[in-house]
Amino acid sequence: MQKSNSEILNHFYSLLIEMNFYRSEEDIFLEKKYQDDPFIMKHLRQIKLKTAKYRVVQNKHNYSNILTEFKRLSDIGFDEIKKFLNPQEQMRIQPLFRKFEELTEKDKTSIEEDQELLQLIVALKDKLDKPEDE
Amino acid sequence: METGKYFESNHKKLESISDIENQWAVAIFKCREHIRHRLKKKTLYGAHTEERLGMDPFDYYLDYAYSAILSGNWEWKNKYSLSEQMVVIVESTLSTEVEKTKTTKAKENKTVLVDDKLFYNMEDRPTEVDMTREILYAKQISVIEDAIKEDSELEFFWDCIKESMKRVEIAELMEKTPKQLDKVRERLINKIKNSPFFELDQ
Repeated sequence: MQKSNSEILNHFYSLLIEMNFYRSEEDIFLEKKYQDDPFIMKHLRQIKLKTAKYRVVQNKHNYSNILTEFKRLSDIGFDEIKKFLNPQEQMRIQPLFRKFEELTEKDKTSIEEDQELLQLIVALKDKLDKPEDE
Repeated sequence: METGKYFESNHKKLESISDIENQWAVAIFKCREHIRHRLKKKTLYGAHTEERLGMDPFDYYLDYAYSAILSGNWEWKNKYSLSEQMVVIVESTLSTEVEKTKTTKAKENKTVLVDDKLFYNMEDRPTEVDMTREILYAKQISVIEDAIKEDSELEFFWDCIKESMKRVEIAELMEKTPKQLDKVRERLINKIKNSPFFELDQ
């Protein structure tokens, strides 16, 4: 069946789209030639900015989750939580709970960077959320 | 500005790429080509005008795609490279904009994006072809056919296109690797890109 001109051109552009999708990525830019392309450079700058902005949002989100979890643990109380911990873990968390009770704004910032504390909170959360599996 | 549930997994993938700036540049390049070819399908112009989108369509769709990955609101699938995932997001957004301009009934027929549809969306074809448009199409085809005259390789390539053959089928028939076929495509584009009939079509 004879194809119309619009059908032929439509297929032509569709084929260009397919070939663009599968085009070898290594061949597109040799020796960082994209730096001569203002459109690409503009969007690379935007990507850097957005990456930084979204990281800040995600860090705030993570921090808020940590505080919520810490508050939950605090409400449950150390005596109750102790039941889920081995003696070594109990020794580790006791001073941290005291630290939480006297939490200042400065401490709040440092919590996010306290990897030991974060790992403990995650471990506690898992134990409290899945007590039946223990 | 909010992050989504794929934030951590998307950023883990980004951090694992050593030449990340180059990969983003490739992704931007491929998305720009994709949008360019899609916009050449004249019937879709209305959905993608600057007036309707509030900004240049190239900036609009690109910004949407990388924001979707960086925010983690769109899952970067393992089967795709960064540039492929970006093109998939751009195509999905382009289709959504087209859907928005269609009738309510058409909007209800939500389509699922699969790879083949990414390239060969026959809904793009005009439903009503007016006389002016038909003359332009005829002229464009004659520009291509004049440009490739006496170049047997390009004539063969064009015959395959007229037969609605896809990339893999053409490569097999012409006995070319995908890379070699890409060179053929490049030669064809170079022959017609300065024609006013194709410039008008951009």
